[in-house]
Amino acid sequence: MKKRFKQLPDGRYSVRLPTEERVLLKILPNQLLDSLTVLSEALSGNTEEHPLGQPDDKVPEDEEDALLYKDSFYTIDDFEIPEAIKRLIPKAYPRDENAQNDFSALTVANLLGEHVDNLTLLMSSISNQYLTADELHKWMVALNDLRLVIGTTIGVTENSSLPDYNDPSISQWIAYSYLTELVEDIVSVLFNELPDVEESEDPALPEDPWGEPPGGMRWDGTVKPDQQGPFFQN
Amino acid sequence: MTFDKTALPDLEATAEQMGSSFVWIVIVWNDPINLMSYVTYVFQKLFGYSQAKAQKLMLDVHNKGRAVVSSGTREKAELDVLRLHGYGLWATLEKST
Repeated sequence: MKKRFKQLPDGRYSVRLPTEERVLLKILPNQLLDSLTVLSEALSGNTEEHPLGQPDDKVPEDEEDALLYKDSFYTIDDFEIPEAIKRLIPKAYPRDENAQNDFSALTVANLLGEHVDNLTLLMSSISNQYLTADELHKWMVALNDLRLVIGTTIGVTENSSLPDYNDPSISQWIAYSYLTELVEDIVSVLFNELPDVEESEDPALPEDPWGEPPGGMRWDGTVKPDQQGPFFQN
Repeated sequence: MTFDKTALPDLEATAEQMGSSFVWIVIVWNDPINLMSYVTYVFQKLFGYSQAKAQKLMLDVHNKGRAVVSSGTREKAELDVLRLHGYGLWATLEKST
C-alpha cells in the first residue's frame, strides 16, 4: 500500500488520498466546526445573538445593569457544552475552581479559535495534492481533535475494540479507526521535521511529587476504580 | 517605644502568597484516545526534548497515569498547559511541594 503522505525534495508533502476519503474528510468536521465556531465567537464577544442564546434568567432586572450585562462577554459557564466538546477545552486547575475560572476567562476563546482554525484549514485544503509541513501539522491536530470528539462520544477506553456491525455506533467506530490511521501516518512523517536532540541536552525535570501511584490515575486526579491510593484523596 | 510584632509584615508569608518562591509543575494525564506516537511527538515539538526523553515521559503517562513534563514559574506553566491543550492533551498545573 502506498504511503498516504510523503515528503518531497522541496520540503512539501504529497497527499495520496482517494476521492471518497477526501469527501469524507470534507464532511466529517462540519458539525464540530459549527459548534466550536458558535462557542468561540460568543466567548470573543463577536456576536450579540447566537443559536445558543443568552440565559434569560441571568439578565439583571435593573435597566442599567441589564445594559451592562448585554455588553459583557459570555463565559464558558453560560453554555451547556456536551462532554465531547469539553474534551477539547480541558481544565488546567481541576481542583481549584477560582483559579480555573480565571484561567478559562483568559484562554478558552483563543483555544477554541485555534481548534476552529485547524479544522477550517483541513476543510479548505482537503482537495490539495500537496501540503506544506505547517499545513500537514495543522491537519494532524484537526484530525486528532475529531478523534477526541468521536472517541469521547462513543466511549473509547484502552480496552475498546470494534463493536459488532449491527451496533448503532459502528459508523462512528469506523470513522474513529480511519482517523487513527491518518494521524498515525502523519505523525510518522512529521517526526522527520523535528531537530535531532541529544539526551545530554535534555533539561532535568522535577520528580513526580506524589511518587509511584498504585495504579493509573484519571486525568482529573481521581484514582481509577479499585485503585485506592493516597493521592488526591480529600 | 516597642513595636508590635504582629504589625510587621511577614516577608516569608508574603513571598509565599505571591507564589514567587514556588516552582509550578505541568502534569500530563493518561487518556485512552491520544496515540502514544502523537504524545511523544508533542513532547518533542513543544519542549524540544530528545526522542528518548519524550518517549520515557509518554510511557510514564501511559503506565503510571501521569508525568511531570515541564516546570517553571506559574506563567510559564500556564502557557505550557495551554499549548498542550491546543494539542488535545490532558494537562494540568500544580504548585510543587
